[in-house]
Amino acid sequence: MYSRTEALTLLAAAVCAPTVAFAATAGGPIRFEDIAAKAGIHFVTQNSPTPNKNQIETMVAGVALFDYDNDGRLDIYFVNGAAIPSLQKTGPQYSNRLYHNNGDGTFTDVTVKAGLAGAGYGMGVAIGDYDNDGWPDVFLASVTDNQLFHNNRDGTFTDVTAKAGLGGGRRDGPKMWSVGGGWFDYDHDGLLDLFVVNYCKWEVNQDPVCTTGRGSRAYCHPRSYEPLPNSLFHNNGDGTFTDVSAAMGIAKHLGKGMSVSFADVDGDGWLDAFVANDTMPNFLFHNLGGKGFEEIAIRAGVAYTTNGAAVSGMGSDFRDVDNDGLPDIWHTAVETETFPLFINRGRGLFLDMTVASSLARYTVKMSGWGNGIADFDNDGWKDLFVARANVLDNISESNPERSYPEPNSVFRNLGGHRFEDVSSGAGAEFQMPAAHRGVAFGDFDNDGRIDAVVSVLGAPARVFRNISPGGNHWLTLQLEGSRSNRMGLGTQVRLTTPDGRSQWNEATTAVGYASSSDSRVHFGLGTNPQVREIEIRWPSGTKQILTNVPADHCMRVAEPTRPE
Amino acid sequence: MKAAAVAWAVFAVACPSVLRCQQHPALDEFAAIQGFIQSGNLAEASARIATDLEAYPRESAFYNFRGVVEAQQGRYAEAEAAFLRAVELAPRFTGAYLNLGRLYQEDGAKDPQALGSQKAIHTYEQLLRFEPANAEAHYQLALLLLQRGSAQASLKHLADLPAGTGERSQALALRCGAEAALGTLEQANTTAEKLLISPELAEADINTILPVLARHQLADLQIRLFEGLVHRRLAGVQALQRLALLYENAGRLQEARSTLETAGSGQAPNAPLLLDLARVAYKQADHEGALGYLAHARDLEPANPAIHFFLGVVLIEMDLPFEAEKSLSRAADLDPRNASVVYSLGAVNSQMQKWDQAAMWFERYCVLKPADPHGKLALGSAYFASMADDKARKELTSVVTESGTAAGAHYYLGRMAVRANDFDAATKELRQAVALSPQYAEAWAELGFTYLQQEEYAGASQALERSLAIDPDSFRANLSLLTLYQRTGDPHAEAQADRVGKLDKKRSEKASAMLRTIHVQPY
Repeated sequence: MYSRTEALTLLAAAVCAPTVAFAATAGGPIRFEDIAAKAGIHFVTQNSPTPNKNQIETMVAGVALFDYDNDGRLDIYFVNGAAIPSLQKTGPQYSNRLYHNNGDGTFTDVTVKAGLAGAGYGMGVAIGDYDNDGWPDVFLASVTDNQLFHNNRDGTFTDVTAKAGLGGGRRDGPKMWSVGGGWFDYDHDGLLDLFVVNYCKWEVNQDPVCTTGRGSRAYCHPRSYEPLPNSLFHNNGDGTFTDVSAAMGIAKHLGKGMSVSFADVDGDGWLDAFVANDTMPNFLFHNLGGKGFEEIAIRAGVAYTTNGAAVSGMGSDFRDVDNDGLPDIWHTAVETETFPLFINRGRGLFLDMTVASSLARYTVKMSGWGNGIADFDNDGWKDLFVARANVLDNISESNPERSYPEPNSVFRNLGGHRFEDVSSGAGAEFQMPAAHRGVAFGDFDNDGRIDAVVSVLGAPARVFRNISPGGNHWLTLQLEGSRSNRMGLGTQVRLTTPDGRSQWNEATTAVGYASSSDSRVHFGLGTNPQVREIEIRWPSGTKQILTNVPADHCMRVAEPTRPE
Repeated sequence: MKAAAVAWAVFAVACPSVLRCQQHPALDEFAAIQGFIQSGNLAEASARIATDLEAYPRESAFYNFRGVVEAQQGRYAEAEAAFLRAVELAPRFTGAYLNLGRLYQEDGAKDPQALGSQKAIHTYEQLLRFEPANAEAHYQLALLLLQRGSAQASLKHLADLPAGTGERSQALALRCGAEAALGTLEQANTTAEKLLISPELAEADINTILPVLARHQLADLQIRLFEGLVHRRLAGVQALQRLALLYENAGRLQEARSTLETAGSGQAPNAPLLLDLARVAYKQADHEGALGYLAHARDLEPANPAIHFFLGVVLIEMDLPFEAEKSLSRAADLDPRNASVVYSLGAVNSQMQKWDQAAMWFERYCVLKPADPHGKLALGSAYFASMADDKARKELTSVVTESGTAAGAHYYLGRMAVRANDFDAATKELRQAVALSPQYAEAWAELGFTYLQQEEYAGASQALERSLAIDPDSFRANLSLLTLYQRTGDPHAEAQADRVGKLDKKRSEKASAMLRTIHVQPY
């Protein structure tokens, strides 16, 4: 039974009632079915490929899972490209799209009403309630101007970019090419700040001529472009933001950022930021108590792989995979590089366990984009998911062994730092190759199993409903901050089951490549029908304990108004 | 004296003696047969000889003629028998002896130590017994003895040449060769001077003594002689190419190249000459130049695997692995069992990080050269890079006791262990690598990294110091040193970060350069 404290803080338990019944299916331990067509989602990412091989064409785009209308069901938002060379959304085919979750397995395109078609050549999306009104807002990272849309609470959004000052940083004149972003409260003032990931200097139709080696023009290697700094914007609390990139020590580090993810590396209570760089050393920005950041990736052992290679970092996720309470890092890369898994050893040091975990031999021939760490089979160990495809649409010319479209992959966590590729048992639809790019994670049918939505270049997006068998128990927490940011982003949660085992997770939307995942904190509980204890550390510093929580529901947890 | 011996003997010594010829009833037959031989009508000559021998069965002249006809038709045994019969019938038949000696010399031309040469010497010595002043015999004996390494004896016969004959270019060449062979280089050079101003000087004179000079490694004298020919404008294409080769071997590459180009200007373009030019340009590190020559050679002989292979090698040197791979693949298509080509394809695919392809080529190399441990080491390293650890381990452990590959095998086994985070095993392997090869910079760097991972900072520092002493620009070692500095709060960290940044940029630029393509203009 809940304690009195929990009873006060615990609100409606049926926040996320299951919406669609599911049937147990045969196959592997983790399974997905693509419901895009029957759900009414026919979104195609339009990247406008040209003979000039503009680099942006291969980089589009992100996807978000968030509940824009607070009806308890996750909606889907896709970012889209634009026409080249104008880089404008000259027609409805280029529109970003918002799909409302109807709760019956179908979705409705509500883009026009919502006012979220976007503008320019889009890249990434980051969801965060920047004004703490309880309604998630939308930040769009773009090749052209970035945009911030305020949620008006009535199904519509307003472009408040100009007032906010979030159109994007400039360097030597042009606006920097932004790929994605992440919301986090770096200074514990209760307001979400914004970290924007910038990629490289680029101008339309100015790419160098690069070839496949057999004469055909190809997208250039990232080495052909100049790096950029990332941007950090402080939330002033009045709808405006201040660019504090230089002041906070972010701007002096040049890279080719592809993703950002947040976690507290050293348990000091302050969120740190990991940036995966493309063919440059990764960054790990250690938060110095909200006063600045120091870049410690080399010291920590996450800048390069154990071979000393700066790989083509793409999507990243930053959370605990080995249940030792220390957040780990996993990011994607391209073929021959493997997807590095850095295990946190404590004291700010990481160990590259890509080979030891078996991930190396699985991923050495893969190219990956969006990714995420989540417990897909609810066994208490977080698994790995990657949206895959090659970078080059004509890769087969120079390397007949490779193909442009690739199937996605899922790796099951066997516990003890080992993973198994269970993709072949994940369902026929899951194994279909395509030019996958961004992926967002969340339980859009509220059945306790984490689903995934994947964007695809030039083809329909994939909406993977998790139909993993086994019937393991689960628990999802929807956090509501009061002294902390309203969404509770950055909250660290430790959950202990009756068998004495503990897991750790955190609230974040910054997952993978250019995408934004559900902010709710999910745990798989295995055979445990209830939870012995949940310890919640809010960004404000408040610590909250819940005990004897039943499994298999989504519960809203509000931050205590007074510290416990 | 040499080349025209047979013809000369036909002409002037058809008879055992001139007086006898003038009185011989078959004098007209002698003239007729000579005429047939000179005009190349060997069938008619042979028929007349047969007829005449029926009439004059003991006439040695006809046997001599027969020997000439048989020799010109390449029938060595028949020619020998005829000449022997001639001297048997006329033991002082000078012409027949000379012809017999010449026949034996031609047989022994390929190998001076062969039986033919010995017989030739014996024949000329027999001639000198009854005609001690015979210049031809003395000359040929001087030549034969010099070729067989008897320089002193050679000089004696040259000394016995009649006055005037000894100053002819052919004799001077032999003298120069003999003096050089005896180590009396000052005398040899003096004789060379005389030879080079001789009005009769010909390329053939120099060619005669080349084998002797080469045997005694007298490259400078050879060069001097050929340069003399060039100066006198007497050097043909072959002489120029020989001179170029001598220059090349002496390290005088620009002169070699210029000489080859001069040789080239005197003939139609040909692949062998272009290959020689490419080789010299390559040695000069003029890779672009080498490419030009090779491209031309390739156009002339597109099915010559050696050209494609050489092209591939040059392109590898130019850090153009993608281009190199194309050329080497063509070489492999044309010569699939050429182990060097196969190995190079493995190497170039490794450079491009196409590990599966690299492994495939190294596997083929191991089939072609199963006894070569380097093939197994290369294969092991390709498997290592492609994450096929079990296969890598099998190959590497198979060569871990071979002296040429042990250090490398331990190094890669160490790296495998590092990658698997088995630091105890890694330390053990890497220590063995550096024990076997103390100058193995990469192994020291890897050992340093291993200690770093184990937080054994003193050991890391020492190993990295060793690595950087050998290879100051090792990225691995420098990066590990930076990590060490940062973890220990060393004040050198900032400077080291700057250094690592510069090295990283440099290796990135190098990697970018590998991606470029090149358009090769034929020379």
